Amino acid sequence: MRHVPEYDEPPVLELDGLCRAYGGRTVVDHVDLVLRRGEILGFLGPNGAGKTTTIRMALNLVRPSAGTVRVLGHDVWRDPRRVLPRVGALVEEPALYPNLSGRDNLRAFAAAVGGARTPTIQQLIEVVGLTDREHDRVRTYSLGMKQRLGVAIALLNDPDLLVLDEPANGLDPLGIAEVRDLMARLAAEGRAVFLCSHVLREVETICTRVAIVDRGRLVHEGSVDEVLAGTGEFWLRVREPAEVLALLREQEWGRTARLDEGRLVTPSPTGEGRDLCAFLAAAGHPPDALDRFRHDLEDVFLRVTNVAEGGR
Amino acid sequence: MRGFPSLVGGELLKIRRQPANWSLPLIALAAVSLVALLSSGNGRRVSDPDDIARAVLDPLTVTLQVGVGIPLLVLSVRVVGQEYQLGTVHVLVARGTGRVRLVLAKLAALGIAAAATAVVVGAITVGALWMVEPEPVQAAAAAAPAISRDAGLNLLAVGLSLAACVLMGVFVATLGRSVVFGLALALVWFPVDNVATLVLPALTVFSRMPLWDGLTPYLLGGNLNTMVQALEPGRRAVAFLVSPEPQVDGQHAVLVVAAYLTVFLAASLLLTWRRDIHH
Repeated sequence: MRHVPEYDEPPVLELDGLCRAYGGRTVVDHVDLVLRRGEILGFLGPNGAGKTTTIRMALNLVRPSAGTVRVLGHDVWRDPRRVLPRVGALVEEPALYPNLSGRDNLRAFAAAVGGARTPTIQQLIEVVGLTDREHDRVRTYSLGMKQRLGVAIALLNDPDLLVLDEPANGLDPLGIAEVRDLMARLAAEGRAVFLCSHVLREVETICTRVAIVDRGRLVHEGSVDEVLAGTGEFWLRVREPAEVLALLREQEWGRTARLDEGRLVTPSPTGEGRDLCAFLAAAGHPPDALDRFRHDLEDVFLRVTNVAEGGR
Repeated sequence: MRGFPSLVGGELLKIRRQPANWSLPLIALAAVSLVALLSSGNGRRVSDPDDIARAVLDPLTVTLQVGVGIPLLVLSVRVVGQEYQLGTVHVLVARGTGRVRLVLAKLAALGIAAAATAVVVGAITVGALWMVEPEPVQAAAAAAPAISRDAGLNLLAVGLSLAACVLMGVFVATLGRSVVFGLALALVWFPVDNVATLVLPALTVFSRMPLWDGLTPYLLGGNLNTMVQALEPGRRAVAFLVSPEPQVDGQHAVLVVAAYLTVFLAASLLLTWRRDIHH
């Protein structure tokens, strides 16, 4: 374990009332967020929702119209040289020097954070699996290799906070799994990861918390379990779903039972799965399968961003 | 290596490892060849210090101003413009590199590159002059103390000229955030200045407005062209690559060039510090 979080330690990242307007158009509207060590936050939103502008304000690239960004308790805009070397970022597609080799790219960016020892650069090259191509010019790299190099650059100087915007872009399934494992490992070591991704299944799998922005506003935030939790319902598979649905709807507790994409979704008489199972068995319809019903992130995303109803 | 020296080291690494940058000295080589060709067969007498100075220092000065200045201008535009064009500037700034420090580090790296190139090109030029006409070079070496003042003034002119190339390159690339924009603006600047030096007096005659001619002494290119002559009024015009020159004294030329350098530097720092960095 790299770092044991202290109870009273300031959050690794704290966005407080962050706003940005261009002309009369508000792009980011009072976004508040806190990210602590060991957390992986999925930062989601439709295109144009203000995600990238929020990230750029957090990284000292775009000046906020109002609000503050603090990293480890220090204002990023007042004290950038103190805190930003502790932040690794991969924003949008990796920005690299195409005529330099992968190793020289790492050396050039390392110089900006005060230099890095050769063994550290070698370690990073190994971590992202570019050992075979480290001396080749980056212009000959595939998108996936550039993405790996971008991740290595973000890891320079052993950062406390990683800001990754679509890190799996261009990676093959193996590469995606490797980046996912890497993020989990980094969080386990006490770093905080701020992940921006459109691959909701990926976010659901890896993130501990989710924040969803829409039209510049934070519209939903919570732990992944909270966000995905159903309302105490169960889904079940039975042999005669229509007959069972009618039976359930006759019960006081089962009036909201429904068919959802071929699955029967219903409350339980007591809130416990075993009592629902016992009821159905007694009625002559023992379920073949039964589990707690959870939303998936895509449903939540579409609901809170109003995309499904053509709200955009 | 920590802090600012590390940043300068990173900039030098990027300059060194970009293959395209290594083709730029070909311009210097062409300038050396041209100067050597123009110097050959003049049959100059090298009896007094002024002749010696003219025979060696003038071609050397022109070679450095043109042969090092133009590649340096292109390099300066590339060093700054590429960071914006590739998007790498946002990685550097997002990792805590101060915007002003980044510009200063680039200027320091360009200064080192300029000094190194000037030494090498200067040595090659002297070698080339010695090969085509050894007498003035040998005489200059023998009379070094006598021409040291002239040499110092020529060095000042070269220094200001190279500084103008670097700062102009950095300024135009910062302004346009692009290599193409920067190169387009930088490479037409001096030709436009030279044309203006010729056209503005004519415009005054046609329009009968002295304002136009009054602008001529304040053009950067003209002041750089005339710098050596203006600083050493007793000397005759440089025989190589003759360019239009306004009638100004040395102090005026130095002040005007210094004003341009200050504006280029201040504008580059202000633009970098103040503007947001988008993709």
